[in-house]
Amino acid sequence: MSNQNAYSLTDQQLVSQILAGDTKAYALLIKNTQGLVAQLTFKMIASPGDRKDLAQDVYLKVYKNLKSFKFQSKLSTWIGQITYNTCLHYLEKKKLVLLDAFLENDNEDPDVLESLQIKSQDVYQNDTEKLVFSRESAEILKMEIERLPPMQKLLITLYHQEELSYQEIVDITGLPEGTIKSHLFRARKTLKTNILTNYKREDL
Amino acid sequence: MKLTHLSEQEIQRFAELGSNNTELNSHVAECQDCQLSVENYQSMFKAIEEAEVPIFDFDLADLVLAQLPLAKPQYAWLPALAASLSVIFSAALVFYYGSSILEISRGISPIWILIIVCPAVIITALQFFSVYQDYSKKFSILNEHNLAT
Ligand SMILES: [Zn+2]
Repeated sequence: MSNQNAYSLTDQQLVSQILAGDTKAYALLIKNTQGLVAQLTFKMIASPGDRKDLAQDVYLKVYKNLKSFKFQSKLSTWIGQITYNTCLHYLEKKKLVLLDAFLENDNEDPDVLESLQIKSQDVYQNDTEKLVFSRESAEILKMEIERLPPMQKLLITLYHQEELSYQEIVDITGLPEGTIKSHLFRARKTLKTNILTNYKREDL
Repeated sequence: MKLTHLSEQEIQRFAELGSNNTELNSHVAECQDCQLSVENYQSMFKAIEEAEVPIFDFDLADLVLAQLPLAKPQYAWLPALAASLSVIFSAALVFYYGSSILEISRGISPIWILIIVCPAVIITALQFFSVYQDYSKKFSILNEHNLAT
């Protein structure tokens, strides 16, 4: 996502138009950023009704706090952060089991990547087949992403689909970069292994 | 050339970013197993990138805009200024030409005065009503929003 939107307004221009009372500019901001808000809410919240309420809540908060936005990150990253916190707060309030899953392995060893490297050498397995993604295997991929633990599912999406940088994901989730990297490492490995297993099963 | 296979982490990194390390590069170039792993990751990354993204099945912008607190128009003082000027202007007219206006109006039949005055009164009343409705609607939205936060 670039700093410039479709109508080549910078974040600064857009914000100053909104602060001057231009509601059309706010509608434009929503249209430009709702993709990320949808990704976050779809990956964190199961109920469509709750997603609808939370998404509106996010943009009311954004509007209310826009004056205090200091352009230290992209506007979309800041909105992503508000979305993540709004969803997390909702899970907390509802005491949903998901919250534990989300915050699992939060305090990883800082040397986690090195230990992962050693571990992964121990369990090195050859890929037995070449993955070719057709329309059907895109369905398998979608299903396998859904089966990942919630945090891994979210991070895979933010990094590989929304193409956010590690720093942007740090800003949105507040997780340390090392934790994000190790979740991502595991997510990719699990995903590839499971897809290959699916391939084999299809062959049989 | 690196003699052992690349670690899973090296393979992921290689698939994503490539490598400047000649040892790794020559190993991957010659080892079919590592090559296959790298290619599988690359096609998986590409497939995730191209996968369908979730979209809301409602118009989020419409829903949000309807709940926004009343935005201050940039030139809120303009109608007030125009109204004051017109009052002053009318007062001045009456003050200077009051007697002549009376003279003229005596010449007009009462029917004509009714035709002019009645619509003016009705239009003014309707305008007041719509301004009041608009105000109370926005006020209640504002209240709801304050209660919700
Ligand atoms: Zn190898």
